[in-house]
Amino acid sequence: MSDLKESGMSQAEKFDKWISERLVKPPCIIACPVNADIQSYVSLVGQGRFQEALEIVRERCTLPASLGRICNHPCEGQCRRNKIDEAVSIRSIKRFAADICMDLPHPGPVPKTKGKKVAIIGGGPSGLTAAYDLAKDGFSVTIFERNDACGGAIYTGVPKYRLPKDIVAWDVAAIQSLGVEIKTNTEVGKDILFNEIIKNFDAVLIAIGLSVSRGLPIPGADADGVLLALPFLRMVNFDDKTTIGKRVVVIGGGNVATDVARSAKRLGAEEVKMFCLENDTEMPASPWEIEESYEEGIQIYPSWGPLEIKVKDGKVAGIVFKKCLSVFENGVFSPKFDECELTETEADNIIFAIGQAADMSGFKDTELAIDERGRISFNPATMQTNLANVFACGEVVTGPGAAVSAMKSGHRAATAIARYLDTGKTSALHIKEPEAIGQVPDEIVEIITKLPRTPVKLVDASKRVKNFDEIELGFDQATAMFEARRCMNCGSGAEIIEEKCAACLTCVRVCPYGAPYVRQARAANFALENCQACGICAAECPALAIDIRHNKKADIIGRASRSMDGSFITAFTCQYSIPEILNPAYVKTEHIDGVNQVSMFCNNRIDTIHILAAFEAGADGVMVAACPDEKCRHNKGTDWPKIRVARVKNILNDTGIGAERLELAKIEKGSVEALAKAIDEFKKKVRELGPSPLSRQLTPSK
Amino acid sequence: MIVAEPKKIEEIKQMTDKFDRILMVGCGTCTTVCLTGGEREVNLMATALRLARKVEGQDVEIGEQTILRQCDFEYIDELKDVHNYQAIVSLACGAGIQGIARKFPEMPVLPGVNTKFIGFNEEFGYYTEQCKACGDCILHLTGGICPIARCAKGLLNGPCGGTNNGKCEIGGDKDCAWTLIYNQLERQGNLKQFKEIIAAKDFAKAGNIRSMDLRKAGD
Repeated sequence: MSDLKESGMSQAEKFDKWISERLVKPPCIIACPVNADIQSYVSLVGQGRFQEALEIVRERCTLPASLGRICNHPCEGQCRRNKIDEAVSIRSIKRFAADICMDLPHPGPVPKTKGKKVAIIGGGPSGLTAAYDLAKDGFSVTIFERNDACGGAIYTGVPKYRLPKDIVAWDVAAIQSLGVEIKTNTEVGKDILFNEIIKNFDAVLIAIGLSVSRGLPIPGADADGVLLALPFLRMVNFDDKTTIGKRVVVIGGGNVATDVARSAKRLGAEEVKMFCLENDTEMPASPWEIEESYEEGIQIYPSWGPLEIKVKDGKVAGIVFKKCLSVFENGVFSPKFDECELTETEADNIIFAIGQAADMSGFKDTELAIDERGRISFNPATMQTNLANVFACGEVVTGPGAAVSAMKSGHRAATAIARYLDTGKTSALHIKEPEAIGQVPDEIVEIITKLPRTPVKLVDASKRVKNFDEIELGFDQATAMFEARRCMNCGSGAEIIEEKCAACLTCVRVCPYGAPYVRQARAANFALENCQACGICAAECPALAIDIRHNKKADIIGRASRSMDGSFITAFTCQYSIPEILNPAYVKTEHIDGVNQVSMFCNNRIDTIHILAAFEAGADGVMVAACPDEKCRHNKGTDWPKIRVARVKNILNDTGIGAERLELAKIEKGSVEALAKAIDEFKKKVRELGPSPLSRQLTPSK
Repeated sequence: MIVAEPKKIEEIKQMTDKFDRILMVGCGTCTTVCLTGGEREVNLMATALRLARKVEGQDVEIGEQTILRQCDFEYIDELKDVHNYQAIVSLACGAGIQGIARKFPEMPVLPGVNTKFIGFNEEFGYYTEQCKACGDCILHLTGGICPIARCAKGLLNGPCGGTNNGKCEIGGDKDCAWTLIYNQLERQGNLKQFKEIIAAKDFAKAGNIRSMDLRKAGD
């Protein structure tokens, strides 16, 4: 999506164009509710281009540092590496990209070119996302937020051990920097009237989320010691003096319930029990939340529904549950109980975490239509309410869900609002459900190098329950880059220029993965499911009829032949073997210490033409740094750089430049020292050789 | 397919020494398939030649074009701005090079490859000669294996005394064509064919200045 940056299109148009024109859709991008360009940002992290990676994350995932911590990452569930070993750790890579750029300036103001004003009520993930898109499109955006800071549920609800508040603040500040005005401590209906907002803005977006916790009208529910999830979490987040009883029962089986239970544990509760209607396979909490809860000593009791709270002297003493036989009937919530099977547990506190509702009090006595169940009358196709210029998004209209799903809704609302304000008309939004590339075939799985996933480290359970410090330790740079390089770049490999194909079968013969095949006397058919984007075919195709989508010839030549700018060596470095040494964070240019580094995804992609281009640009020496034979990721491809270097060496001799100015170095994978040593030795050698006859011609002063 | 090998840069450099504007033309058919005359090779050779000249402090302008076939005038017509150049280097087979030379009689047309043989693509980058274009095919007598092209002596009735466990006495790992023929006929249950003497061929049909005119078929 990065290549569309300068196009002058709206956020929505850019996105539609990008997603529809993308020939092969990686399943991670399709699974992501906001369709973030995961493949591109993962790839950029793998190359050490962190700031560019963050820019791409933010285009769709507008709260990168926060979501890098708490996203439920459906992308990883669909990652094609799951069939090879394990999914790429996409969420943690995103977190790394944000964390490493945290000291950099925020994006900065976007000119307000549209002359129209949008009010957004509620600064949670959906409202902030809409604000981002609309501000980028040149609208003047004001957020009315009733809390003292934006973030919504991820600010007031999600506990600090999962998401520190300063992280949310950083994400919000980035959006604010675009020129978005944020009015905090401003509650609609109290501090400002909805009607007043409608009067003063061209469009209004209601993104108030679900801020009210539901309880249950069971006997004893009004006893002292009965709490609701959201007020409890708010206390935990903002009141250091919050205390809790020794024995805590949490009712609910979702992520809010685990947040509550784990927070109670951190407040010092000795015994925390979670009871939920669902059985252990139906529990809506994320599997990792359940696992981490168990690690922290939370006891989970599935298939129980609350019957009665035992009260003594007006205070909670315990609770009785009845067995829950089933929760859903034909997909509809309709719990069935066995009233004869009961269980009772003593408790000092009972906390309900069974669901949320919207607080619509600020819209009372306005023209906004609200149905008998308290929900906004809403058209999901146009994101409009009953009032033409009032739109809605996020959990208030979608119901409870993941933050990233709320962000999707925010993008849609921004699209709808932009169209409405640009054209004066509303139109149904097109909902694209593109098809992702298929799974890697079994026979190819066997020959793909296995690269185990780097586990995301957590603070030890016995230590982490003692306080609210963040429990997840992010990746360091080397780990993030290694993990990013596990990405198989699904569908981003070979691209055929059909009119050039000579049907010579070279690609069929050189591909280690059987991607090209012969059909109806044509050779240039590619099974993209097989392609691993190694680049061997592109570097051998005699008709130059193949390019590699994410490692384009023009880009490589451009980098190989850019001004040497003080460098005298060009190094083509294989991304899989070469770590970050030449590419420190934030440094966009790769000119360092006399070396023009051209990072390749895999040096099987290196082409004789690329090497000659470097010499032609004035390099005194060219190094092709590749993995040692036994460590080549594309294990049938180790000889290719050798063959191509040998060919160019012959040419260099014939042209009078000299073969000794080109060197193939096999670098031990992951060894910074080995690369540094190889480069130093080569530099020394080239210095002794002096400037190449060619560079002498280019710069006579040399 | 016609198989050709690239000429050394040194040789091309000598041929083109006196020209400052050169057009290098690839052929999209046989020499592309045998990896010596397609768009990639044109690009590589042009770059190499440019570098060789720059090393000597001489500027040279090299145009790069590749057409579908150089043995058809209609395709040659697709070449653009030919007269902006002083010479053409062709990376086609001998037929293609001469096609260009006929089309542009006033211009020096120079070979960028050596045309080798009519061959088979055994595997990536490896080709073997299969046919001498003798004009009098006898493959029906020899199990589909040509002794003219594949026997070192071109024997019509073999093998000779130099056959050695299926290999030819000339060395290397060259197969003895007549052993191959024997094995093939045996597989086909047709060894009696092997006993038939093949009469001397009319090698006049392989003579020079050959042409073929299908237009006369109706006469």
